[in-house]
Amino acid sequence: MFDWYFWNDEGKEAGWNRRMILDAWTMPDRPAQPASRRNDGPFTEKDQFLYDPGDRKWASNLREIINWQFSDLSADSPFRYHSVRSLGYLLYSICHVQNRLRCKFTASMFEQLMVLMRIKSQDDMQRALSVNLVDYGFVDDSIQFIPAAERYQVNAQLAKLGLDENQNLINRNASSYTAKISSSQSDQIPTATQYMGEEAKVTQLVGAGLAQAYEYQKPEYLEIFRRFTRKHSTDPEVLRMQTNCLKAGVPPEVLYNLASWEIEPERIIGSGNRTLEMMTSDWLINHLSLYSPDAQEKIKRLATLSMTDDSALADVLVPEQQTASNSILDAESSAASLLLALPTTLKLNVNHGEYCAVLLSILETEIVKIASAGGVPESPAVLLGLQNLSGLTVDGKRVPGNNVAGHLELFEQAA
Amino acid sequence: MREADYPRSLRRAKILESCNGVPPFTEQQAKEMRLPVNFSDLSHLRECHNARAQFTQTFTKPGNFFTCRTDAGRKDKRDGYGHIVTKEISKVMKRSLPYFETMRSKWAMTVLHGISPCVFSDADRWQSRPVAVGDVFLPSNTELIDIASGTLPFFAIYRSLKAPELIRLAKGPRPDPAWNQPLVDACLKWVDEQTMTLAGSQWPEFWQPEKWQERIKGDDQRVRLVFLE
Repeated sequence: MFDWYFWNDEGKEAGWNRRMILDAWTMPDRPAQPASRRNDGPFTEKDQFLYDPGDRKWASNLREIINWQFSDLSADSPFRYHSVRSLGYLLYSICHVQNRLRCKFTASMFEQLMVLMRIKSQDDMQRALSVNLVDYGFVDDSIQFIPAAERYQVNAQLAKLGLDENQNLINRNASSYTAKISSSQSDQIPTATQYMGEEAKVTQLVGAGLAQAYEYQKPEYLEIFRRFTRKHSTDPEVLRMQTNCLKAGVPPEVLYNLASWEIEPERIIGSGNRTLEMMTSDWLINHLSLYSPDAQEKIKRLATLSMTDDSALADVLVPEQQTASNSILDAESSAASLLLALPTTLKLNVNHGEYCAVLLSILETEIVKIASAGGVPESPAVLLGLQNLSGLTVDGKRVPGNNVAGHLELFEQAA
Repeated sequence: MREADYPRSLRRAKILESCNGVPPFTEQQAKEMRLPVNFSDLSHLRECHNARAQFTQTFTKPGNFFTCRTDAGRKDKRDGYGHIVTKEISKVMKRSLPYFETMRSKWAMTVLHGISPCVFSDADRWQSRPVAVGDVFLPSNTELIDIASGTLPFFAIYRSLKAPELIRLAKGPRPDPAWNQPLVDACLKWVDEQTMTLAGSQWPEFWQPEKWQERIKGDDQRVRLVFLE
């Protein structure tokens, strides 16, 4: 049957309408006649839709129904759907020629391997057939073997050249989409850098092809994501995923807010070229010490994934570490200035709750230290520092600055 | 659209024939040329395999298919939300065998024919299903930019519903009133008759020669359809 979709902007809501109609040619009366079609009711009645929801919209966006992936190697524009030229299409002719040439080449080889004998009559032929060519056979005088010099010689070099040329053409046509182990021009073994350069040359083309694929993959991923974050979905896998996210602390107003999300396909190093990927990982691991500790962790993960080809194993061997938020790090560093009673400016655009918690924890540590030393601070400056950190003097006056009281106030306002 | 697509379908059949390892000369040609050998060196198949492997590697190897980032919620928590949602979606997608098959088909079709359509079967399920290029009909001269911008006026998908699927959709609990019940009944009756006679129908393949190729391949190239004789 034909499942029809058509854009309809009549009425209140624009969108895609749907109809299903039977393909009567596929339901013949008699299986023996391909040109027949069903001609009995109800199959032949007019306006006979199998499925007709009327004006009800099936989807508001094309990507909600269908997504396409293209690898168009066509050179002329505007690019059209039915003019898409694939790698399979472009390689067809040359591979066909190569196959024909190879058949003839092989046939010639068989021909060259034949032992040819010259005969003058049918009697000679009968005699030739009766010759026993094993070690102790007897050869009749009338039978003459044709020597190599008299036989037709195929121009083997030309045939070989033809085969090689065709193979070169296939390789060149395929290089946009396949990873080739590039060979060095000379007989010398290339250095690692030379080898990597040659690989990168090929991968530039591959990368261009993949960039097209990544772009066309985005709408499908976006639609998959939309379905995963759709409220009241009936898909059990989607419901399970949503429950897990909510349990892990993602608020519903964030999870179901599709407009707030951005999706980016994950890419791998080496553009899918395994050789280049492993060489790049190897280089990064050899130069690990040049990178910051954070980057080192990422490099270790990348290298493990490249070598093992197993993302689950990479997760086990190099688990992702939870890092402290910027608010926590900033609060910790500003506490030193506050304890020295230096003036500070209230920091905005941070998580004030986290900021307060860190400052209070440092304040508590300082008070415990003083209490354990007899309850008296070493100097009046220490007391000033504590007041600066808390944001309040001993008689309850507000101290301006980047302190507990300031952040607490902002936290309350936000709440 | 069906007739317009027929020559394209023949072209696709040729590509499939080559990639299925069919010899370059027909039996008649080989006989006339007295060729003792007629074989495919599988160079076409090999190159297409290489390309497919690279595409599949690129898209399925990373730990996640895609990364999600949000700009909603508390600023300090946004990275965490993105991380959780990315991981949870990835967990479902990576474990799904049907989606793995979708990806395999997608890249194979992309390499062979340059076009690979995937269709969502309903409004809720997250998994899409690959559809053969010859089963999607678009008006001739459609530009790719029309597809990218979603301004296609219409299109059709040629599909077959198996009897249990039709029953589930049209006769199941809370069926969509849009189904034409008398026609559904007639279809089910027809399917029943076909099953009774054990005469598998091949009529849908008449207009799609690439499907003949797939059938020939599946039948180990021994069974020749009447269409090819």
